[in-house]
Amino acid sequence: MRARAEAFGAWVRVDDPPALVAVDRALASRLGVDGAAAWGAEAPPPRPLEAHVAVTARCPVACTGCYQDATPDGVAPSFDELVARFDALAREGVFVVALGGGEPLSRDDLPALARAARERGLAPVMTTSGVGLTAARARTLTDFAQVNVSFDGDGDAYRAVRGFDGAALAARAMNALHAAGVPFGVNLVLTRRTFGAVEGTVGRARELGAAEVQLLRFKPAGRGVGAVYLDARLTQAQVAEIPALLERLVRASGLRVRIDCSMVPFLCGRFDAATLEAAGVLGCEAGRWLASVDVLGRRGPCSFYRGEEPGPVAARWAGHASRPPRPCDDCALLAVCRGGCRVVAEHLGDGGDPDPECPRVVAWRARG
Amino acid sequence: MTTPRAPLPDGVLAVRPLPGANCSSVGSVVDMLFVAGVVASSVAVAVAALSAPEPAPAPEEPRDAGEG
Repeated sequence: MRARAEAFGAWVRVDDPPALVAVDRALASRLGVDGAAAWGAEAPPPRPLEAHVAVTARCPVACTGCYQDATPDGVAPSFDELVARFDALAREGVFVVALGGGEPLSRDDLPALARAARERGLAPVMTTSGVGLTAARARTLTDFAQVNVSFDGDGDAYRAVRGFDGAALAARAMNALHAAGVPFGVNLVLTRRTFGAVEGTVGRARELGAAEVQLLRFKPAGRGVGAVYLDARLTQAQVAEIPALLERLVRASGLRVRIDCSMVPFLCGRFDAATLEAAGVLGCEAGRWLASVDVLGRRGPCSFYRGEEPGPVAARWAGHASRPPRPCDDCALLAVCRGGCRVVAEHLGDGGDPDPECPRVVAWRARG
Repeated sequence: MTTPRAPLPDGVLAVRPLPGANCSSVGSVVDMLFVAGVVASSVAVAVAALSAPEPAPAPEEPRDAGEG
């Protein structure tokens, strides 16, 4: 059990069931949390709860829209460099480190990295395409709190998202993780061509033993920019179906269902911010409760930021919701959504713009 | 607009199921939004059983994550 004082009280990590629980100051005090620094007149700025650490830029496959632009000969930091980054994150009170890349399995020291993270009080998790994940390899990954396998569907659906058919590879990886007893889920990227196959894909993931599905919005970064992005992003009709799709998946899939931060705008009109806050839903927390560390050790607001000025951009993105543009300024979701995905907004417009794919923004702009 | 908010114990502001395992964007469980109490009830048990937690480090000046 671990706690971190915040202006509102504290975040407390409980292990059974695994969760971060936000508690008020009174309960935090009863739990023995020292709030002297955080509860003063000048509350400290938000610190990351979760950090996404790129452990390599190397990957043997070549996904069409890879947000990291990973290649077979990409750079990989040393073990000691990564452990130093874990040390820094642990000092800041980070709870979860998500290892990615590149393909993390291209490293031979993943078990040692997971142990190093745990020794520092960090819960290590990992995302993989599954390439190289044999049964023997899976048995070495038991220190990971969870592994997610990228799985966008069988056959054509997978190929439509990533440009190669890695579905069988992902299925083999899931079988190996299941046999090894490693908790795993799937990452499912939503694109306009595969949207109709989502429920079938989730059903297949359940058959393979996944406990969780995370739905992700395609982001314009790395090789996924420009025409690739415009060709992949969801249509507005599909965006409108998202709340109903989520409800069907929650009620019928048998899996725990997650959405990524960029999908929160798609819930507007269905929920208010207080409801989402109570459920621990996070919108764009880039530069606040989320941080990224790239292969060179540079801190950024989130993994999709690919520019050369991560510090100033992190500050700008983190402050976006404090000066919301129209029509976000009177949106019931603003406190959680925080203006939607900054990566999409900056790719398609100006950094201060609202998320242009938010249905409320689309409707507002259509009204002129 | 629907708000099927699950009841949370006194003093609990939010419950965020862990861990998730995506390396590129923050994932949030939405089960509680559609089926009230799905996760909250079990977390309530965990919260009730909380003992004094291990403190995380106090805030410090921002620094490069690469610094050891």
